[in-house]
Amino acid sequence: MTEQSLSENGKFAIETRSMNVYYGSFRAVENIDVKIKPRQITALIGPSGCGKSTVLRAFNRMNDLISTSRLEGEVLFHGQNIYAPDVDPVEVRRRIGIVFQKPNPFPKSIYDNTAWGAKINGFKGDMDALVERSLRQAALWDEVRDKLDQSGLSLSGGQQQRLCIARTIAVKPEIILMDEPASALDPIATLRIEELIQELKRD
Amino acid sequence: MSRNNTLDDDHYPHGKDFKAQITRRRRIGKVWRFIFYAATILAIIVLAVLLINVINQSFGLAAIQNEIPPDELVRDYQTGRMLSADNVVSSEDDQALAQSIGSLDNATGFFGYAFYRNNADTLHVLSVDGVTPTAETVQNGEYSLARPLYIYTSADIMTEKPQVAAFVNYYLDHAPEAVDTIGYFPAAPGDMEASRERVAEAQGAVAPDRINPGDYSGRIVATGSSTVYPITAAIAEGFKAEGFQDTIEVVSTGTSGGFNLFCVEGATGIDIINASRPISQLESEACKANDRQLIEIPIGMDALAIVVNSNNNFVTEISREELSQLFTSATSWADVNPDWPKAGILRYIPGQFNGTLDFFIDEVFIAELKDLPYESLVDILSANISTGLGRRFEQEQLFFEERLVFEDPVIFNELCAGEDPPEACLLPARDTENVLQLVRERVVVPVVVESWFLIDSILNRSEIILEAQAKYPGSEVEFYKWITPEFLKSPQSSQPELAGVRTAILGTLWVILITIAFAFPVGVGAAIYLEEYANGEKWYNQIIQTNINNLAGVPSIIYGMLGLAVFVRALEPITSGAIFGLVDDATTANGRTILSAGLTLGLLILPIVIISAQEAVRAVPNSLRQASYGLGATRWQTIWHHVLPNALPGILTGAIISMSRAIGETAPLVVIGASTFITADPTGPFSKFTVLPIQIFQWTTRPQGAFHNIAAAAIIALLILLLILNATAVIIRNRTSKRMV
Repeated sequence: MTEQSLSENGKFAIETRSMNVYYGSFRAVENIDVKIKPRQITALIGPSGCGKSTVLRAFNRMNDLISTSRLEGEVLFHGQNIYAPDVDPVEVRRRIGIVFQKPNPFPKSIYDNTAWGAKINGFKGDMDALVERSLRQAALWDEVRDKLDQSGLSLSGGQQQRLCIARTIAVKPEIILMDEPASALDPIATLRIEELIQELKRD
Repeated sequence: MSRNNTLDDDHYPHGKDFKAQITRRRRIGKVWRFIFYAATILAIIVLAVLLINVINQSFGLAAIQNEIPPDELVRDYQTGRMLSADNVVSSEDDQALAQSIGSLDNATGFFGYAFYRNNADTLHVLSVDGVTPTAETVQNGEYSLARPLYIYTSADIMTEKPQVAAFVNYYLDHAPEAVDTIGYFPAAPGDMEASRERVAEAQGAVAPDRINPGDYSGRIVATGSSTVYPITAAIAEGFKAEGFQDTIEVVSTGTSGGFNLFCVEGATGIDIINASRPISQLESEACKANDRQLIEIPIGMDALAIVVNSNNNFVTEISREELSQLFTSATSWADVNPDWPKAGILRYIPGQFNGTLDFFIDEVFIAELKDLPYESLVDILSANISTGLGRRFEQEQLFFEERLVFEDPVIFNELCAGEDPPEACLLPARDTENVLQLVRERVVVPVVVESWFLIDSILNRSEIILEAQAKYPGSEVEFYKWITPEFLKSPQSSQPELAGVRTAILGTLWVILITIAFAFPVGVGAAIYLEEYANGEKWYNQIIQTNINNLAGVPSIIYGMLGLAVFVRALEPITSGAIFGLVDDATTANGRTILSAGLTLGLLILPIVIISAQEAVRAVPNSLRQASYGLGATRWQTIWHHVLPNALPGILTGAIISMSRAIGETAPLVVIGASTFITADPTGPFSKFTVLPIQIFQWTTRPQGAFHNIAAAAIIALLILLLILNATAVIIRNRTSKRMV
């Protein structure tokens, strides 16, 4: 799990207070209290099924999509509870991006994959430049510069995952959550993703 | 593991046992494969049988009886023109005609060449198209107003009855002189030689050089043409005079009568058929079907002489074009040819019951209905239909821009100036094709009296022709295609030969348009709501879901009852269009309209559309939704940009299937009251209508066979329409799914 943020007020980028997540009546994680500093790479480690993904997805309200899930406690983002009733989950997800375990590019062109998030979030600037910068940041530009109109699904697994990262970077989130982004990849692709994470921390 | 045996042994079969075990597993697979294969084959066979059955009924031989045969119609018309010309005298007595022309300077006429020869001193024969009738020009076919004369017999008869063989040989020997005596021309020597060889071959022996009629006995019967009659009679006299003791019966029935007796009815006892024309293909086929092979023996030529008075010094030759004017429209000779004097023409022609007049008409005038000029077609039409019907046609479209045929000009002008002018006031005049069609439909009126299936028509062609000729004398048997472009273009009619499916096809298209326009958006919307918004755990949503699933299985007739109660009755002001002021006649307006039908069918397919759209939406991977939400998209953006585009192919597949179902539905439309007989094309959602399945259903319930043929043709039309609509939908689907990279 990586975290990089433009530090604003509050000492921690994310802080949870006795967070419990339930799926129906099953309590998936119990009394989690973590504090995550901005501009750092923070990793969650644990055995399979221990609730890493659940915790991660709680940070940008992705668990809302599972109708049976329920959260108790507080998740503070720069000191503000993102589960407060007046908080719009769409805004939370815009500011806290996520990259999933399995690469899931849209069945659209590479360009559209990168630009779509910016488009729906009202990006007004030079879209071509944004796409290029995002793809460069995701270290994918050199491989796809000549085939931006081809399907995102035509790329290899590692390239797809970097495309998903580029897509996430393009909307300029303050935090990027990554859920085992390299688990489905070969060692070389994994290495590239890890380098990428290091570079993103610098920005 | 709770099994109590030890796991030290591996408990798997090895070696031979293993092989046997694999074989056993395979065998099960093979059995299933065979079952699936058989099921597939069965389905294909059923489909093929269905298609073959429909095609079998859509094509095939048909016996057609015309109220007035077209060639007779044309001949009557031309006869009428000839007999109603100025200064025309017609007589059955050719000698009287010859004498009259011989005594009047400006007279002209025509009759058999024999009569010209007998009066050559007072008459002058004209050459036609530059050819003078002589033995040579007649024999080699240059002189066009000539026809060959034949006798026909068969090899079997000649073998069975030696007296007939002897008579035929005697006939060949004596024909040239007999023909000459009577006034015809002899056949070409080559033809006679060929006939002799054909007869010898049929007999299986060369005829003796000299036949002694006294050596033979047994009756001889000859029948047929009245033109050939005198030749055969003269030769029979000679045969008897040379010693033949038995009777020779020569009867005059006309050529067609002779062939009909012998070939079609298969009458026995006829030995020789006299004919003034070659046997027709139909007659020949009928003969073959009766196992009778006829030999054709030319015996001479008959020629018409066009004559003028011998004092006439200005005309020696005439073209056929001029001939047709000379005997009809022209009043003076100068009308035909400006070089000729202005003297009036006196016409002397054979009577209308004489074969000579018919022959002249056939040779000189246009004989085919379709080749007639426009004016002639209009004349034929006006002579054969009632004035009332003529007025109706004229109000639909004029026959001539400059004059009226049926209508009174004053009344017609008033009509045009009136409030609701007939269409004819605006349209240009009809064309030949149009009037020809009217003549065919209203005057010729071809009626299919019996039809046969395609396979039967191919395998038993001869028997069918024979049967038709016997059952329906005067009918024509021809190969009939029931599905034609005409059939697709014509409206419904009470005559199966004229009926078409245009009204039904348009009705189907309109109804389907309404159905899709209603069911597709509502169905997809419902599916999106149920899949993306509704909480499936909630009891009310579960009830809705269960209801939709069950509605898909409700019999279609129940939707018909629903449509009747709701759309036709309760919502009548809306479905009849009355509320929008779109009804011409409020007293007859009711809710049995395209709109009601479309909405009813829309309800019928709605559950299918919803369920298939739900399946398609559910099949969109969740990872896409998560990716979308993860970028900060709202639910609607996720649905619109990702869920819908990715589900669209599946949604459209469901829509295609349900559209196909709607096109084929009959029961609910019967209940809501689709018209079973309607000739007016639907013009909008508030029109009365019929659809193809109802049309098919209605035709199959008719007792006349021809309606079953057009029902089969309509089934083909329905299948083709279905294929076209489905293909269009599939193409649209493939286009949309390709766009999403």
